[in-house]
Formats: sequence, C-alpha cells, structure tokens
Amino acid sequence: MQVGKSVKKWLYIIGVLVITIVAISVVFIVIDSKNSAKVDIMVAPLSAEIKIGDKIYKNGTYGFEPGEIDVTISKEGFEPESRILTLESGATTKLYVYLTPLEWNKNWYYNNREDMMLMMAIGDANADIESKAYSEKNPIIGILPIIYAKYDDSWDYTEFRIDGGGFEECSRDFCLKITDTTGGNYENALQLIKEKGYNADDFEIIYEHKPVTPLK
Amino acid sequence: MRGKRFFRKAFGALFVSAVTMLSPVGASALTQAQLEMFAQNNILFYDPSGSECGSIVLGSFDGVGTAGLSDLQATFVDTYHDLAQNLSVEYGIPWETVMAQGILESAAGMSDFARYRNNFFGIGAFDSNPDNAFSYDTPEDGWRGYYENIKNTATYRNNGVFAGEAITNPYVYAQVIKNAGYATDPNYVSKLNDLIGAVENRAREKGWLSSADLARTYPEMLANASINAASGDGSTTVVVTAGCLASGNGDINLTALELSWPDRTHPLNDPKPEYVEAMKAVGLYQKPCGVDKEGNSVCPPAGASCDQFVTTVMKYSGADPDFGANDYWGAADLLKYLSSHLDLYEEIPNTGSTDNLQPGDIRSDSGHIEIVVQTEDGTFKIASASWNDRTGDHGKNFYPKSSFRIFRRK
Repeated sequence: MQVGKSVKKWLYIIGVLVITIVAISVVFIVIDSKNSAKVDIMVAPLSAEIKIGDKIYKNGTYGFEPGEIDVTISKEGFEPESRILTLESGATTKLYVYLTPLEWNKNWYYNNREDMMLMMAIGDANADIESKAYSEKNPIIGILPIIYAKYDDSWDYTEFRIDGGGFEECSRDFCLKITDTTGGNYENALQLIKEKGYNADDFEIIYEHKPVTPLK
Repeated sequence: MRGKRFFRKAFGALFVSAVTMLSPVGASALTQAQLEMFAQNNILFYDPSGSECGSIVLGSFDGVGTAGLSDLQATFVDTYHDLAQNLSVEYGIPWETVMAQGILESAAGMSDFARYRNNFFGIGAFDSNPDNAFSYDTPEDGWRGYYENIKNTATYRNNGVFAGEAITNPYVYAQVIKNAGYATDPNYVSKLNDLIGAVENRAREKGWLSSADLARTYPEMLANASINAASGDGSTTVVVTAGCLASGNGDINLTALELSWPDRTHPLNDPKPEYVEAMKAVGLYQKPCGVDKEGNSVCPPAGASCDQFVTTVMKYSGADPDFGANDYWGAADLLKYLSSHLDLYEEIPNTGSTDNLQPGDIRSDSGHIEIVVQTEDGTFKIASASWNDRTGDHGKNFYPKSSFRIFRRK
C-alpha cells in the first residue's frame, strides 16, 4: 500500500538521522574526553612563543588529553622558561608565566608598558595561587606568628614567639620555630599551639633560646 | 626628630586644654587662617606639612640586640621613640621613663589593651573592670593619653612631676610618680629602672637625644613643664596636631590595614571607601589600564593593581611621600625604586619564613608587590590588590616566594 511505503520511508530516514546523531555525539564525547584537561595560558610578553609539544599556542584556554605536557616559552632577549605540566581530566591548569629579560634587554618591560601590566596581572595571580596553596598545605600559617609577651603580677617577664616557614635548620618544607627570649618556654609554646587547635606532633619544631643580653 | 616641626609662636599664660585633631583624611597642611589664629592665640602647633612624616614605622628593629631589651622590646622602642620624644618636649616629661612604662605595662605592645585599644598604659583601667580602659583611635592618641593623664591629675602635678630633675632625669621621674601614687607595687620602680637603663642603651646605640639633651636642645620643654605644673585649674594648653597625609602617622602597617578590607571577598569594583579617599588624596585615583591575556585593552577600576595599593599606602601614610618617584607604574618600577633607594630602605634577607619579617615590610618581584601587615591578633597577613580579581585587602596569609626581595623602611 502507498501509505505503508511512505511510513516505512520516513521511519528509515528518522532511523538514519538518529544513528547519525548518536555517532556524531559519540565522536564528540570521545574527542572531548580526550581533551578533557584544560590549560589556561597567560604569558608575558604577548609576543612570546608558547610551544606545547609540537604546536604553537597563544594566550587563551585550550583542551588537552590528561597526562604530562612539555611547555617551552621563549622570546629573543629573554630567559626561556620550560615546564612540565601534569594535566588532570576535568581540571584547569594555570600556566601563568612572565619571561625575564636578559641583562642587555633589561628595560624591555619599561618600554613596553602594556606587557608590563600583563606581567603584573600574572604576578598578582601567581601570588594568590601560591599563597592559597601554601595555606592549604600549612593552615597553621594563618595564625602565625604567635607572639607571647607578658609581665605577671610580680613584674616577672615571659616572652617567646612561634614562627613558621622553611627555615635553614628545617628538614621539611615547613617547620615551626620557637624563639624563646626568657627561657624555659618550650612546653608553654607547645601548649599554646595546642590551644590554637593544632597538634605540635604534626610539625618539625626548631627551638632557639635567645636570651636578652643582661644590663651591664 | 619630629620635635623640629613644632613651632611656638609665643609663650602665653593661656593655652587651651583640649587636643584638637584636624581631620586626618585629606589633611595636607594648615591654612593661613589657622596659622594666624594660632599665632594670635599663642597656640603651640604641629606643622603637618613637615617632610619628616615617616617617623613612626612599625617594625624598624635593626636586628642588633640591646642589653636589657629583647628584640620585641627593642622594636617597640624603635617604633615609638620619635613620638615619645616629641611628647616629652611638649609636656616636659622624660621619654625614657614613659618608654619603659610602655614596655612594662603593655608587654611591649602585646597586651590586649595595646593591640585592641591602642592603650599602652592601662589608662582608665584603674579598677578590676577592664571595660573601663580607654580606647584610642591611634597609637599616637594612646601615647598622648598617658601624658594627658599625668598632666590632668592633680596628685602628680602637685607632687613634683613637672619640677626640677623629674623633667629631665628618667629615674627621678620614676620615683616621683611612684611617690605620687602611680603604682602601689614596691617592685615597680626597680623594674622600671632596669628598663630605663635598657632604653638608655638603645638610645646610645641609635644616637637619640636623652631627655636632658632634649631640654638643652628644645628649651620649650622646661617651659612646657612649667605650664603643665600650673595647668588643670583654669590655665590650659592647646596642641593642634594634623596628620601628614592620611592617618598621618608614617605608619605603613596601620595605614595598610586601614585602607584594605580584612577579607578576600571584595571584587575590583569594591575598594574600601578609605582606600578611595587615600588614592584621591595622593593623586592616584585612576584606572590602572593595561591589556588582558588576549592583548585587548582593559581598564579595571581604580585601586585594582598591587602597585597602586602599595604606592597609595606609602604616600598616604607619609612613610615615603616620594614613593615611586611620582609614577606608580608597575611592580617592576617600584622594585627598581626600592632597590635604588637604600638610603631609605634596608634590604632584608628572604628566609622563606615569618621570623625575620616585620609589619610594614615590602615584598616584591617584577610582577607583584605587597606589604606585610600585623593584625590586632598578632598574626602576619599580606596586604595588596590583585589586578585580576580583587581590590585592596589584607586577607592573604604569609607564603614564601623565593623571587621576592624584601625591603624595610629605615
């Protein structure tokens, strides 16, 4: 029957369309999953060459396959920079870099003010990123330094302070340092750390007794 | 020293007692009319247009220990000695004793009264209720509160505080105020004397004038003592002070705290009103235009860049009115300025930790510049602005960065 043929024809067309759409979607999904890691690139000078693998990129945001990528950034008259970035699926990695001019070219940024402002945008952003990462790794930094100084009712004086960072004597990235001015305050300092909500056992602690030089 | 900027038109019997503060925001100089009025009324005044506004800089400890003082105490002495000396000339009280009392009674500025109320001497906290302790707007007000308290209390005036050796000899003054009932603890004077000795050591190391030297250099010190001895019963004193610019105290730390939000939630278009006023006052209220990462021209709101924030603080506080040599372009420029003005700034080693930093230190590399501040609870934070997304704030914690160079105002 004529009507039956027409229905069949339409069903056939719709079927082909559905299959095509599904196929295209699958291809996009596959491609997208391959490039599911993003890299946000901000580099100064604007005219620097940004090379990732074999390709040249400009500032902007791009998708990449998760994994490691080699990045080199260069421009004549500047110290080149190279990085290895580890990209994760679904995450955006920030590549914020400004190149440092060579000695003979040291006034380049002063003569190229727009690039200098871009350099500062990169510097500001990196400062925020590094501060945030450091605080997340070492949250105690948010309450440091702790400076304790007090005269008691008999005018006896107690003074010590607790600092944080990567001291020379420190075998880890981050240590606490107790600088004890009046002496005998190691346990007091540990107690203070505990009162602030931290476990002193979690830290490598450097202790220095730094007494006041007596009056002559 | 700041006393050089005090002028006395004439001595007269009538001085007014209230301490008048001109509005700190935007105050730049006294008007001619004000000057004439002061002259006509024999008013002692402080010239706000003086160029030595950077005298109070928190954290100026030079790292050299002083006999009898801890580093913290030496920092306290370094921070307030100019102010104490000026007030000593103004009131006729030896500054070494007041400094020692400040160390003793505020634990070198670390007491809660000192940190939260600028009250270094427990003024008003005469009973067991700490809520009665006075609260002062600025450290300068807190110091002045001590001198006013001594001047306005008849027991001190009538018992030789403003007379004889008590004006210039810190040990005599300590005994006189003790005898007049300042403290009941029998150990108070001996403890004070130890600290006075240590303060004197610091003064010798720094080449500061002793109170006796001050009296010789500024004869009005003795005259002021004489006036104060008779004050409180009708005769009065007027001291008009006006800040340099801004809070006018030369204090980088306090100014940075005052001009920035305490948290990190304020976008570029939301600068603190005080920051806006300060930028206007120093002529930096402008959009820091540049390019975005695609190279398109962009002009974020005024106050958005780190160099603009730091320059505003340095100029507005008076700590360095020429900071950046009239051009705030870029952190790289400011780093160049700092490193080429080692007569004004001392470069501090970057140890990657908090222990050698002081409030008011400036950290910078070519791409960024920021100020180390100390909040009321004693912790160090970083004050700056970020061209990308935030106006001036001090909500950032300390973090180490090897590319930073650190400078401290001398």
